[in-house]
Amino acid sequence: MIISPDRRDFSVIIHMLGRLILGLSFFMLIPLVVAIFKNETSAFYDFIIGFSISAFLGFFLITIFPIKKEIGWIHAFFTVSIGWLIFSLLGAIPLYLSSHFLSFIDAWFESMSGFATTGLILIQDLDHLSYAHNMWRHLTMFIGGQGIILASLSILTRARSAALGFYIGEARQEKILPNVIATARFIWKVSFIYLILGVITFFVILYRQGLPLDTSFFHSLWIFFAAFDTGGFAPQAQNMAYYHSLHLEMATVIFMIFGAINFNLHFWLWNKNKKEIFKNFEIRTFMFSFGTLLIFLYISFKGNLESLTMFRRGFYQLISAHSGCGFNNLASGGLNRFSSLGLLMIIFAMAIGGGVCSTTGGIKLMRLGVIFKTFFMEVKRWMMPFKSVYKDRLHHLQESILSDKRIKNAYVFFAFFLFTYIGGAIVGMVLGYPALDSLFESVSATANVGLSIGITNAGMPLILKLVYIFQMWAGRLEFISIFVSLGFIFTIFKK
Amino acid sequence: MNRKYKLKKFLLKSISISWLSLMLLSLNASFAFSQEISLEELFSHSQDFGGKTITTSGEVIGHPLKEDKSVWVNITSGNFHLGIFVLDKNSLESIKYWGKHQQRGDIISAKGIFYDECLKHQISDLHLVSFEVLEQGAIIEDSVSPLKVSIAYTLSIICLTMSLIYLIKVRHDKSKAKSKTYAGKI
Repeated sequence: MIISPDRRDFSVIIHMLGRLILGLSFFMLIPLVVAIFKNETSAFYDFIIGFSISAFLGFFLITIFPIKKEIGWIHAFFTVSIGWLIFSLLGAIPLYLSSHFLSFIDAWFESMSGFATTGLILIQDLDHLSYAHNMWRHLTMFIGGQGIILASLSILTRARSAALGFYIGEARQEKILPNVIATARFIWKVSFIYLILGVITFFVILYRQGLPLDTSFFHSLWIFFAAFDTGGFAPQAQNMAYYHSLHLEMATVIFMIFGAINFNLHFWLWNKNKKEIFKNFEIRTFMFSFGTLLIFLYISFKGNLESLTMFRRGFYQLISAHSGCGFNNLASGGLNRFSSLGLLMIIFAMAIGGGVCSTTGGIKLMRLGVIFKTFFMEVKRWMMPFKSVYKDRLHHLQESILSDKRIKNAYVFFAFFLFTYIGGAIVGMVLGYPALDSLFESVSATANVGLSIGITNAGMPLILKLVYIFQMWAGRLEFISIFVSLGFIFTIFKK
Repeated sequence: MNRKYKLKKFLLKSISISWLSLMLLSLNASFAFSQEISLEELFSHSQDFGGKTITTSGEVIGHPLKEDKSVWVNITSGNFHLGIFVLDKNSLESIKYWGKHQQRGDIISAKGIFYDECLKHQISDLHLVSFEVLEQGAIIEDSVSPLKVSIAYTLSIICLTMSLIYLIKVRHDKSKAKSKTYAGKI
């Protein structure tokens, strides 16, 4: 039976949204402090305005719409999907006020790109942006990558019953600990430990390169946010190419991979069995897919690159694409020089993404692995006697039988992603962009990667900006909570 | 004698004309190689300029970044950026302003060898030969419009009022719940 919503359901949803918006407004106080610290007056007022609007809206919704019903999954799903849209709109306010965007839509695009950990940018003159705004751009990735709702979930007490709904609504399908709130807290704990390690590592490299103390600190913090949350923003317009540092690139590779690994696997490696890394199904799928794509990428370079050049030109772009980070260390228009085969390999890497329950987007390694496994399973089945029953197994933290439910789940998500990748590419082609470029940008937006072949710029058609905003949003939430919300709205009209 | 003199004069004339032509030609060639090209032009036809001495210009941004005893300087022009590899970091002393927030960087004209695929650094870069500051940068004052300030104050007051209303409501709800429990106990 489909639940038919009434006024009390909306009151619950709006109340929850109010609480989350209030939580978001407090995050805006961080760049506000940075503005004070760096004496950036204009930025200070931008964040006062952003904070005031968000906090007012939060308090208003909580006061006017009380919770009169138990919070259920349907409320959680609706809150998540609408919440991300509202957060990105509110997050765009201080960005737009910075005068570094040509329109509010551009600022919204940037904000959604940050929250969805995509990394596509429309900002103008990034090299002259204030520290406060840069802090906010990078913070959106950290908030979005960790999960806005996850952040709130670890502090909320009223939503315990629907906690799993919020958790799954944000495209996380594996619980690490039996209790979802404990899981959320574990994810935050892991992230903060890596944050300290990452910031120290990047700080040492940047300070040794001659950056001033405060700049080194801020840049290392932002690079960590972008690497671990696989966002891909950078404080300078050249992205990683600005630093001209092999050491920094190698360090970012490590944190990109950490971000792309399933949090469940982090938990397992920290608390249980370290050997799991060699046996894990997702890791094995990653080794296979990355290795294959790297070989083809090398072939696309016609094999005339020496190893270090291959690392910086090919390997770095590929790992950045596969982890969904979107960092690039190439000079202006560098990706345009890749051959069609090379670009196709980057597209495949972006489309696959990292582990489930990680900060990456895309189809995910687990689903890709399951699809491959079912293919071989089917071949084996045909080679067996007619009446025999055959079930394959996989090792993901523990040995398990590859169930039909898991296979169905993998194919459903694979289809969702594939349609969205192709749909976005078709829109690009209709607007006159070349097929491969359109596909590249569409996959980059949907899989929340952020590498760009050049289509994404402030001058692109408005319709394409809106399509990419939708793709980033849908890709980050992995469609389900959006479809459930649409169904929720549909039932209202059905009444 | 007169014939010999004429021949000598003719030869001298020919040599000087040829020398002048050669000089002009070489001048033209060096002009062609060190002509000022924009970063957009450079990256649009990067393969044509690979290994050649070029002169390009742009705003210096960020900070000088050390690499052993050398240093990297990044310049930008429009949506294009170029890393310049400088062997002698002391030569950068004439750059006063580096582009960042509230500061417009010096515009420099840099002459050097452009590498489309630099074997040493694995990217497209320019190995500097010489540079000059074309236009000095400046500190940009952080001006805030009075309208923005008044909007910020107004919104803060509205937000504060709303938060007070919320707190009053929370207190009221709590006392209501308490009195209900008390009445229930009686």
